[in-house]
Amino acid sequence: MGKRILVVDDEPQIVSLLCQRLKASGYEAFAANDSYQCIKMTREIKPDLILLDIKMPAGGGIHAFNILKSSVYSSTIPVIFITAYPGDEIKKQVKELGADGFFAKPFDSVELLNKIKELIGE
Amino acid sequence: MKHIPSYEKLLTELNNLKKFEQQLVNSEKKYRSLTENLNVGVYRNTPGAKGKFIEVNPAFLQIFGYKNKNSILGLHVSDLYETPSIRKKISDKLKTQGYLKDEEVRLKKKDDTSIICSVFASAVKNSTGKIIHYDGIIEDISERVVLRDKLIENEEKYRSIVNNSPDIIMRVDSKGTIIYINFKYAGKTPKEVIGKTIYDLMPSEFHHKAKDSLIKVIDTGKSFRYEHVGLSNDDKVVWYRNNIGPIRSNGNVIGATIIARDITERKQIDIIKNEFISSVSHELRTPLTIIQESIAQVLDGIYGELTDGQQEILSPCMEDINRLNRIINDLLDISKIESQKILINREMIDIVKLVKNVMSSFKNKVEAKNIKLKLKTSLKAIEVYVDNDRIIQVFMNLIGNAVKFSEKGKIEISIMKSENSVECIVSDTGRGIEHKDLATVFDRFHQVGKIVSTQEKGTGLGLSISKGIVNLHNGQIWVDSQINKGSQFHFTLPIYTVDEILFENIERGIVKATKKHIKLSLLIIRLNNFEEIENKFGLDKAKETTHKVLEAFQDVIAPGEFSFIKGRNEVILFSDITQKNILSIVEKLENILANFISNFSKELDIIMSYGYSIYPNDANSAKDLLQSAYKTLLIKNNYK
Repeated sequence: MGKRILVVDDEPQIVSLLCQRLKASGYEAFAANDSYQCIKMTREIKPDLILLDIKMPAGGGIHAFNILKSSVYSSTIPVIFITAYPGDEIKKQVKELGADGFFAKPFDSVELLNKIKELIGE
Repeated sequence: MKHIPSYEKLLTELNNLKKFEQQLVNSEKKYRSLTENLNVGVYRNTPGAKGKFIEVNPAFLQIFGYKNKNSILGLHVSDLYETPSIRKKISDKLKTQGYLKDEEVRLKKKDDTSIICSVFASAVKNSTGKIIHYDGIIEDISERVVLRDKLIENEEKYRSIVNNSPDIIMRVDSKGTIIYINFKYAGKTPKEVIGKTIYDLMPSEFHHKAKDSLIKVIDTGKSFRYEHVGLSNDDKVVWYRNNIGPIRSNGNVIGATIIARDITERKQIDIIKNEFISSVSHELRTPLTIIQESIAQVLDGIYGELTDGQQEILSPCMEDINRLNRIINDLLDISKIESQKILINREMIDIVKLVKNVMSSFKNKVEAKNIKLKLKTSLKAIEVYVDNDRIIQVFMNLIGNAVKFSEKGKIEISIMKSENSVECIVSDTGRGIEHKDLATVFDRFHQVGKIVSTQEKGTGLGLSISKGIVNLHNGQIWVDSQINKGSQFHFTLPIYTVDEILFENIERGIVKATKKHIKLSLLIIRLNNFEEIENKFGLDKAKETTHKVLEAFQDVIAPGEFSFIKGRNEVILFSDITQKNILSIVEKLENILANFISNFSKELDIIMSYGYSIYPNDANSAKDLLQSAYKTLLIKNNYK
C-alpha cells in the first residue's frame, strides 16, 4: 500500500487535481476542505504527509498546523504549506513555525513531487 | 565809581571783536561753501501765508529747473506747490511742530512738471520766540518713490500669490527652524508652527529623509523633493510632498524655501490602487493554479496518451501560463514597492558570486543564441550590504533583457568597487534603445520595440521593479544606449561601513521595539583568544570559530532577527529575547563551541566574553545601547 497524503484546500478543484496527481505518482490521496476536516481526518487516516492551504475557512492552515503539532498523534507528520498569498510576512511566519515545505500557487508539480519524495519517499 | 576801561583794554576788546568778526566771516564762508557744494537743496524762507525765499543753494535751483537764483528769490513758496492749498497744511504743521522730518510733498518744476520731494525743515526763532524764518533741505525723491511704489506693488503681487497659493509655502533656516509660513500646516496655525522645526511637523520615520534633503540643499544649492506625513493634532493623516530649494544671501545658502503640497488624495488613490492590484493578483492565483495543473496533468499523460495535435495545441499554453504567473508576481512586486510594503532584508553578500550564479542560469539561452556572456570585476570578491533575492531579481531582469534584445555579439557584466559605492553595468551589443525612449524605459508597462514571437515575452514591469529595488537600496539606476549598437544599464549600490550597518539595524530594532512595546536586547560575544587560535591553527580555523558563533546564533533566534560579525572576533545579536534567555543562549553557545573546537583540538581552551544591554532599560539610543553592552563585556567564562 502506498504512502498516505492528506490534501487540505477549500478550493475543491485544486484538491481533486492534487489528489489525481498524487495517485498518478503512486500515493494514496485523501481530501479535506477546511481545518476542521483536516484535524478530524488526520486522526482517522493517520497520513504520512499533509499538504495544507493557508487561507481557508474555519481557522485557516496556520491554526490547523498548530493543533496538529500540539497533538502527540500528529506532531511528527510532515506538513507542506501551499498558498496563493506568498507574501514576505507569511514566508517569515511559516519559517518561524518550522514547516517542512512551502509552495506558492501556482506550484510546479514536479518540484512539489520532489519535495514529497524527499520527505517521505515514493 | 563807574569803572572806565583803559585804552589798552578797549583796544584788546576791539581786537577780540575783529577776531570774532573774522571768525564769523570764516564760518560763514565755510558753511556757504558747504551748502554751495551740497547736492541736496538748501533753502531759507520767510514765514507767513505765502512766504518768500531768502536764500537757496545751486542744488535747489537744479531740482526746480531754475538757472538764476534771483528768479527764485522773488517767488512765493506756494508757487512751487502743485496744489497751493497743501502748502498751508505743511506750513501749519511746521509752525505747530517746529520742524518737518522727511515730509513727502508734491512740488512742481519751472516747466510745470511735477516732482516728489522729501523736506526736512525747522523754524528759526528770535530771542522773543517769534519765528523769523524757516531753514530747510529738500531732495528730489521722484525716482525713488516710483521705484518704491513698484516694489510695494510687486510685494503685494507676490504676497497675494503666496496667500492665495493652494500650497503651503514656508521659509526655514539652515537648521530647519520655521521662520515664515503662509498658512495652516496639518491643522496647525502659523502661530503654532513658527519657531518650531520642520521635524516637529512629521513623525520620526520621516526625519532622516527631511534632514538629508535640507543638508543637500544647503550643500549643493539645488532643489530636492520628498514626501511625508504631517503630524496633525487630530488623527487625520495628511500627506505632503515637499519641494525644498535654497535661499541665498551674498552667494551663500542660508536657508530653504519649502513648498508643501497636500497629496493626501493622491496617496489614498495610490493605496486603493495598490490594494486593488494586490487583491486581484492574489485572486488570479487560484484559477491559474487550476488551469496550469489541469493542462500539466493532461500533458503528462495522466488521462491517457495524447495525439500529436493535442500535444501541439496544449504545449504553448504552459509558456503562456508561466508568463501570466510572471505578470502576477511582477504586479505584486510593483504594488509592494509603490506602497512601500516591501521588506528589504539586507545582509552582507559577495555580489560577484551572486552575479556568477545569475549568469549560470542564462547559460542555455546564450549558448542557443551564440552570445558571449562575460564578467569583469575590479576585485575577486566584492561585499555589499543588500537584500540577496532582490538584487538577484535586478540582475535577472537586466541580463534577461540583454539576452532578449541581442541576436548575437556579447553581453558584459562589470562590477566595479569605488570608495563609496559599487557600480554594476550590464552592457550588450544588441539592438539598443531609441533616444526618444530613453527617458521612459523605467516606466511601468513600457516595452521598447517588439520582441520576436518565438521568445519569452516580458511583462513590461521588469525595469520599473529594478528601479524600485535599486532605489530602496539607496542606489541609482540609469541607461546609456545607442540604436543598433547596444545598451548599458548602470546601477550603483552604496557601500556601508560595519558601524553604519550595525547602527542602522540597532536603530531599526529600537523603532520596532518602541512600536510593539517590546524590549530589544543586544548581545555581544567576543572570542578573546582569536589570535591564539590563529597562531596555532591558522586564520581560517580562527575565522571558522567566529563563524560558528554566528551560525549558532542563527539557530537559536527567529529568522529576520539580526546577527553579524564585527571586526574579526565579535558577533553581535539583537532580538527581543529576555535577560533569562540571553543566559541560556550563552550556555547553548558554550556547548556548540566546545563541540566544534573538539573536532580539531583536544587541548584548546576557548576564551569567550559576553556582554549585553536591554532597551529601554539600559539605554535609549543605539550608541548608548552598544556602549552599555560593551561595558558589561568584562564578564568572562572559560570553556573547555
